[in-house]
Amino acid sequence: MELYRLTIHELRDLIQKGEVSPVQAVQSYLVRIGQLEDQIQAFMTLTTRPAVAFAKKYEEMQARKEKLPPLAGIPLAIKDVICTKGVPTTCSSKILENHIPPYNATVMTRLNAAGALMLGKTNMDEFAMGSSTENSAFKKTKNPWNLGCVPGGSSGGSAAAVAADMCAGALGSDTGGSIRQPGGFCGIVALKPTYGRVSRYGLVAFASSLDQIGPLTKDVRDAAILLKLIAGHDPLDSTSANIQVPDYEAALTGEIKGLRIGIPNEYFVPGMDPEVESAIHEAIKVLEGLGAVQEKVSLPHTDYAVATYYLVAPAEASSNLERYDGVKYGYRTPRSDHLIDMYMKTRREGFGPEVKRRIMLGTYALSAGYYDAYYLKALKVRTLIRQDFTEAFKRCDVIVTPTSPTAAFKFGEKTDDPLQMYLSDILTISANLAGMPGISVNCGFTRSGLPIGLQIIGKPFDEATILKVAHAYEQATPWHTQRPRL
Amino acid sequence: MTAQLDSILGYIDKLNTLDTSKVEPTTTVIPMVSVMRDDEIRPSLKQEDALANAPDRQDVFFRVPRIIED
Repeated sequence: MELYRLTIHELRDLIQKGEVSPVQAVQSYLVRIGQLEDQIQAFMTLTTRPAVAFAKKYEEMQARKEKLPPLAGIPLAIKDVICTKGVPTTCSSKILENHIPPYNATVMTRLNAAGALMLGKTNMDEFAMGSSTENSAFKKTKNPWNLGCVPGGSSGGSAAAVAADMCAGALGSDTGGSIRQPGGFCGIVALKPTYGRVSRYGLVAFASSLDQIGPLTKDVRDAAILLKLIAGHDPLDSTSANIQVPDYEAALTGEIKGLRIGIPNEYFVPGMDPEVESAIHEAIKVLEGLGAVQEKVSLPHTDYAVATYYLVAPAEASSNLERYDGVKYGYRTPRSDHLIDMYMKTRREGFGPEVKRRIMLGTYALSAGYYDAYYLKALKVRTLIRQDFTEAFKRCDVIVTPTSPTAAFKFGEKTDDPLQMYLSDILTISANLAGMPGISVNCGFTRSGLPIGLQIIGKPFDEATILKVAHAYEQATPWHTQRPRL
Repeated sequence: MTAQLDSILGYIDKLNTLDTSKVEPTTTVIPMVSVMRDDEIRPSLKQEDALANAPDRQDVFFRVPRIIED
């Protein structure tokens, strides 16, 4: 078996035992990237030389029989929305095209301390705004299962890289579904932690009350491994929770007898692909076969989630993106008369259309005379959406839903009508609004060979249970061993 | 762009069908208090690092076009 096919835990075991050198592992992935990147276009920047240099360092430690850090030599891909010191971080936007952060995000500090290697930064929807990665200002990432289809978004580059074995695992970010949905479209495991579980220090901010960083991996054990490393309180992020991080790997017992799985009828939306619907029902049967118990629950305000999100998120984004003004970093317009002229031209030239759309929506929703009717109203509906989950979780341990109403759509299919693109987020968005953790795992394929995502949503800070359920399902099914033909 | 924004705002109007008169707004999904630390000096970003990405600089300053219009 080629080294690039291995999961993080398989590679970890071989490296820790000294049976595989980190240099071999990195070379295997670099060759794979060399073979596929022209087709897939997953990466914005490759960091080949430092990856090989660090791999050599760990290889020397191996040779001296020194104790290696837990993820020594494991090659990962990082979404280009996460600040990496000395390495370009563009958010796939022209306004940050040549931006090199002077500091590392906390998640990077933790991964580096664990010995993980970075293969490069991955392509995304500009400033994480999008559901297909088509909003990247630079390149079009393809879905490895069908090159005419989108990989999903906004973490499309990370998802495609994992699915195509171009990295052992990846990090993404999720504000309205941007880890889970591309994970579902690309047939991999993708987890959004509870809000506050993982530090946002160094995550380029889109919507500060919704954003979370999370892992995209080949199997559930890998997601547990990465989450354990990146989760935990960070004094540099005052929204990070001071709650102990459990041993997520230890939670993967395979034991889900008696576990109550809540099925919300509101999540089987009109317009859902019948193949998706039937795959989810089959998956629920598998879970019941493993001893889980089905509970019908209701999340009555589901229908209002997209509208709520597309007020709250743009409002927060309009504030967070004020900093891109051409003064201290990033793109500046080459010719301007005076400061205000410089601001306007810089932002007009530097931002793409979706980013502008959301800044305008958000500014409007917060403006005098409209604040109560739009933004404040949305915050109240957010309370109702969160209460739906709290109520439902009195009767179940996890909530099981499809990740998306359809499998991956074709390029250009939803770009004419932004509202259509927004509505495709319906099944992931509520978990962000309510702050709950969610994981997507593959639960089958459409007749045309596209992956179908199963989403498991959990109680706040109960990632251990959603990982346990996801793992039990995964081990009882063949999907996680399948790879796209490339 | 205008038509798209109109269409989005039209869709968002559905929130008005909900009675939220007795509902408190959610500004944060985790219990949050103002996080403080002692007022002691710690290492911070070096000046050269802070200036390194400047589109235009002069010595230790970020240089911008004139601020006052005619």
